Amino acid sequence: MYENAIEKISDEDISYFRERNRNRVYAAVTGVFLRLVEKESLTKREIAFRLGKEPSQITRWLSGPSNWTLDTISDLLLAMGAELEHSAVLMSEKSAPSIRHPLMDGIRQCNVIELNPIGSDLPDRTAGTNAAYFEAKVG
Amino acid sequence: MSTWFPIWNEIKTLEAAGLLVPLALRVPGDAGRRAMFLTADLSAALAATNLGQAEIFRYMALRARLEHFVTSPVITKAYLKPLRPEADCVWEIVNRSPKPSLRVFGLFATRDVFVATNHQLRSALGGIDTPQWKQEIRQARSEWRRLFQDDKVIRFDPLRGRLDEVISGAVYV
Repeated sequence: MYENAIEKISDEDISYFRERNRNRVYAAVTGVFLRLVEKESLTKREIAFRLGKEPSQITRWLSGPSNWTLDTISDLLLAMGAELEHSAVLMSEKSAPSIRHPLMDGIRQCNVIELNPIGSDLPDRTAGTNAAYFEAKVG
Repeated sequence: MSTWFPIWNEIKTLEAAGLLVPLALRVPGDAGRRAMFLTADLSAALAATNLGQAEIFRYMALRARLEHFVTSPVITKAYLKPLRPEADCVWEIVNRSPKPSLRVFGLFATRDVFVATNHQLRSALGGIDTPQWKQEIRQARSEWRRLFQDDKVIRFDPLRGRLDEVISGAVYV
């Protein structure tokens, strides 16, 4: 049964989620950095010293996630005495957003399948939600 | 977030007319801390289906990068930069991957509400202050005037201003 549910993921989704996850990890790491700057006056120079790097390297790393590897993330967090708590959630089980900008009220959230049909046997796209999608594909 | 600004009515009118398109989030459950609207042309570019694989990767990465504006608790100065001349009030959203990367230009209608007007490959822009940059800045400004017909844009002084004047969660790292 599960075999029938397997379909190739589109290039659109692969690309989108790579960048999305880069940005999310970046937000998590910079969030820790900012907390420590506020709490302990941590500097990029201190992080650089701890890692045996030039401060300019830390500035480059913290300026954006485009060149980050898992090693970069590990090094930065270790130098801040932090680590990621790993948990993965099914998108179909994510709860409703707690924050919504008033201008976006009434804007229907688009979803992965709506933008990128990846087969002719997709559920009704107009009514589609990720939950419906996964139920239809896996259930 | 309870204040409703007059320019938001204009945005909604432009949205209803199809001239502005809200950046809807792709993953249910994401927080919508801020709002972004795209011109119809830019929205069409992001949704184009007749692209080669490299373009698909480039545009979908850009889409995720734009959603970062809406969802992320923190926005760094490396993500969003005011461009010169500051009187034009045009900003650049920086996207660095995949190469050659895309840059998006736009202006703030109010704090936390960004109107993205045009985009260009970074490789086509050349060095800072080249005619190509100026052209994109002019285009952003002229798109804004076409839509809003006056100067309601948020002004920002890049030398003395602080990023949190235009965006919540702004941080300097």
